[in-house]
Amino acid sequence: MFKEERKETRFEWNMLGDIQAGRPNLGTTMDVAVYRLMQFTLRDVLIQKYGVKEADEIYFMAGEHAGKEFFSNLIKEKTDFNKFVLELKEVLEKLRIGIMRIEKADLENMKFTIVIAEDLDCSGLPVTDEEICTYDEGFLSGLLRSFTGAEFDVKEVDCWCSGDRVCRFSAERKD
Amino acid sequence: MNKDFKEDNASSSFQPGTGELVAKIEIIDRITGTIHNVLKGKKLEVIEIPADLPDNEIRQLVEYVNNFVKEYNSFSDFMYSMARGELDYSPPKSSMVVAQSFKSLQSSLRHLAYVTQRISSGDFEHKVSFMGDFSEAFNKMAQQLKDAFEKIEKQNAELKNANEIITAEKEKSEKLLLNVLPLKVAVELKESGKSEPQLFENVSVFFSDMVGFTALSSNLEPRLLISELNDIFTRFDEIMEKNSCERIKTIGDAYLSVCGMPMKNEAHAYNLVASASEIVKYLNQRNEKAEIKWKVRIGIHSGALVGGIVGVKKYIYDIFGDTINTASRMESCSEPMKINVSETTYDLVKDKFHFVDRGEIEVKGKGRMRMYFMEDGAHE
Repeated sequence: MFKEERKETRFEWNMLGDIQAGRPNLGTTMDVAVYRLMQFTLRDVLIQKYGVKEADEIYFMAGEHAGKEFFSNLIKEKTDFNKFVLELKEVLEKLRIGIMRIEKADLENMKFTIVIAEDLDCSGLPVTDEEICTYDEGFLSGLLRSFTGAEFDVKEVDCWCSGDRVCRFSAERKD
Repeated sequence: MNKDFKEDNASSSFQPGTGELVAKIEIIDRITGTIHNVLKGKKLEVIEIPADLPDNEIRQLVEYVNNFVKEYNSFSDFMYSMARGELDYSPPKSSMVVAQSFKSLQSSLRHLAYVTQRISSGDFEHKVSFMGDFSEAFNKMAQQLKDAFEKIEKQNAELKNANEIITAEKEKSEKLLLNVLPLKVAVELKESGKSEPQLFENVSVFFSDMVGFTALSSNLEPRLLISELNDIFTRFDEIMEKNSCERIKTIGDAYLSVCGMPMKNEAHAYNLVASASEIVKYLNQRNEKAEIKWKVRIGIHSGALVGGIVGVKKYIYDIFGDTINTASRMESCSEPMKINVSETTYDLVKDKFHFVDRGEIEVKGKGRMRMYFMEDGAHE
């Protein structure tokens, strides 16, 4: 199930398991630092083995996959964009992933500016003049693609690591 | 400044042995001027670095000041645009806390603009969160808007419902009005609030009476009696309406109708005689199956009369004039299931129907009058 060789995805939501049952004492949440420990050690190893570009691509793909699964399993609104945004915002806050805010929404041309404050991945990291939320780029891309059926270019334009206080993403439907 | 420095050509120099770094007064003045301009709100200019300025701490200071000047100017432009409400202005790249804070403010304002747009579109579920006091105030306002909107929608629905009831009631009352008034008079009354009495020169008047009604009715249950009359007069009404005639009223078992008023009708006599003929046919057919066999006497006369509304609270459209009396006399001089017409009416329709001349018959209060029976109610 988890360790089979594969050329295409075999991920299923139930692979996340019954956390409540499995952790009756420690519960379903943990320290953000532990999550980041996995994120950045994994990134570290990936860069060592494959280089920065490849590592970024892997992170983006994983994020996109997560976005699609997240949409399928946790988002109920599948038709009305504004209601979808509203629900997504609530779910992201409820799961303490981040505070999502829409700065711009051009539904006609499918262009959006999305801000994630207090982002799980990067808020509070050292400022290094880098945009490092590649996983989030993929995550948003997966969500938007799942909702609209269209492919999106999602790019992080501001990041905590580049000296900003929030992560800002531009998203635009690919022609 | 000491004399040695003034004589030195370099913009700054290091004094070996003392650890002191000296700079020309001009450099210090430019730096001071820059800080002065910051405090006085003036635009800052980059300090020109003299070619002979050595790569030392003074040069580094000037370069830092220049970097500050560039970021400060960009930030000032950004702030100025923000103050004008231009939320699309691209914020400068800067790590200064003050610049980052205002960039966060711009982000919050952009988000508020988006949420406000959603709310203005009627999407009241949108809220702002984690924006301190502003979140509470904004969300409270949004909730109040939602409550007010829902209240208005509820009131609108109630109003719409009330309007539908009023419209239905109005239709009912108009229908009722049409039951007691001719259409033209009802419309006139509705539009102008009044209807003047009017003389109609050429009208035919129909009078009918049930033969032996008093004797029959005394043996019938009142409900059955009313039901019978209702059934018969409803059919009379249909026949009259079909022939462009107008029922004026019923008085007990008597039925009074006209043709040629309030809408003029050249064929008034023809239409009314044809209606009378249909009524006789209808009753004959009805009597074949019905338990109670009703028979009518019918009289028709043509002439002038006055029509108008009588009453203020209870509208009744009535007709007046000797023509009605004569029509009534024609009816009383008629026979069961016969249509008795005056000479005036006869002259108007003699080419259309068959008649039998009854000769002159004494009419109460009018002397002798020539009358005609329509033959078997048959058309020509």
